[in-house]
Amino acid sequence: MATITITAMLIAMSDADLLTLTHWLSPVFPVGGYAYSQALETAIADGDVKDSASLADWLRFTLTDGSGQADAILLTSAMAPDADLAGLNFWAAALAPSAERWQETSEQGAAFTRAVNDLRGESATAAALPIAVGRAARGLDLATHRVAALYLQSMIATLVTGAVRHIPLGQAAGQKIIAALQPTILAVAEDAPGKSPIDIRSATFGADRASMIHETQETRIFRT
Amino acid sequence: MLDTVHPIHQRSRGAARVVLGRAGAVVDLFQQGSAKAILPRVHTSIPEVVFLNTSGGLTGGDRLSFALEIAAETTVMAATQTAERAYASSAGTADVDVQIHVGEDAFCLWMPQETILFEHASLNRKTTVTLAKSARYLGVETLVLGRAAMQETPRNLVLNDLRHVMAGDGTPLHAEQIALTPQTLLQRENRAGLAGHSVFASLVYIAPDASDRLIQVRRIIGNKGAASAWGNRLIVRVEGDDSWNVRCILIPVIKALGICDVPRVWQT
Repeated sequence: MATITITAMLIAMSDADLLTLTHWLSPVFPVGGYAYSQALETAIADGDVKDSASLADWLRFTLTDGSGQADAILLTSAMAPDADLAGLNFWAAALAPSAERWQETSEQGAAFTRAVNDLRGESATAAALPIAVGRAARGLDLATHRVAALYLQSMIATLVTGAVRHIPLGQAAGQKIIAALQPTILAVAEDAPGKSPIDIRSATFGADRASMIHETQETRIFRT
Repeated sequence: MLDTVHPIHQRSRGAARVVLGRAGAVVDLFQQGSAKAILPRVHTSIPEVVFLNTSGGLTGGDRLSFALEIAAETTVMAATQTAERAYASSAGTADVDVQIHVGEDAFCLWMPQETILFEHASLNRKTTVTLAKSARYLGVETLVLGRAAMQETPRNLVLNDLRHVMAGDGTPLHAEQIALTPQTLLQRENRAGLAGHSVFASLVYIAPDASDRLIQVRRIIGNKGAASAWGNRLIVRVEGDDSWNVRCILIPVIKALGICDVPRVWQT
């Protein structure tokens, strides 16, 4: 009986924490993710991303070899109870490949931190988005790789939502891309725990270049 | 048992270290194994240091290290004598370690020539630059996949290339942590990744005037590359299919940001 009660309580706690995390990562949370495109706007303007397949390819590569993997490692590192958050934030800044990529993660991280501070009456210091999310998620009864997976799915969903409007693609095509990226999201998230910023690797030469070119693009709907 | 011949190849080892005092006077020079450091007589007032790996290329098990220490208020241009070739490794990984310490108010220009990666290469490289207060740094690195003229397109190689610029207190100021794997090369045409290119150059300039130089740098490179700057950091990326062309795009940027010159080994 006692075991059953405790198990039920743990499940209830973990369910509540899951709701908390999905709330933070949902489009209603005032982070402003819709204003940023991680340079997809340039990739679309240049014709590098022009249909469903090229959008999925671009996103899959940034997950495995670029910002997805980097953010997952920064997030899971920040969830460690003894993490040096200021130190992690220096690494996030040092690893940013362009002014806009740093603007994107630091502005969203600041907005996220403000919103969580307001909710919980805290006064946490702002940090790059994955570090801010990881810090806030420390107290949640959720495994670090699950937090990372939900974070990555939210990032992909935001990017796909913006991209389908501008390519343009039907909403159904966008939903299929999000669903098809699920195994990649899970693999990147499961690989992150236990790693530190020194383990982050990148080969997103094209995405980095696009983010630099976006800074000079004349017609811009997205901030990045 | 003691006289058993181990089937392990004697791989090359090399370490070279140069310490330059004020105005570029050589304070210490250490060379061991396949690594050498040359200080060519130059006609300008800027001292040059040229590192050299005499083993003719890198393969599994090789260990190579270059170190350079520059005194306060001194400007130095450093380079490598030739392109470094990472050849097929039958076993193990080639390890290259580069350490550069730049003194207060000093300026270091680190311009190694291209690193050419061949099929089955396995290379781990770590470049760590430490900047004392008010020190400036200009670094240029170029990776080349195979030899374009030979129509080589390597598919199986592993590269881990960490490039760190740190403040004296250990704070990271700039980090590039590049990995190329067979998985990455399978998607060689991916537009977010290699985008079909075989030459990848990265320039980083760290100085108080970095952001102020962005407009000038963008004007020089036009649409042949991309640049971004924020805080004390300016980054330029140029990709292509011919390392000579990439070099020709970079030289005017290097001259504009640096000291109006490139190392003699770079000259065309």
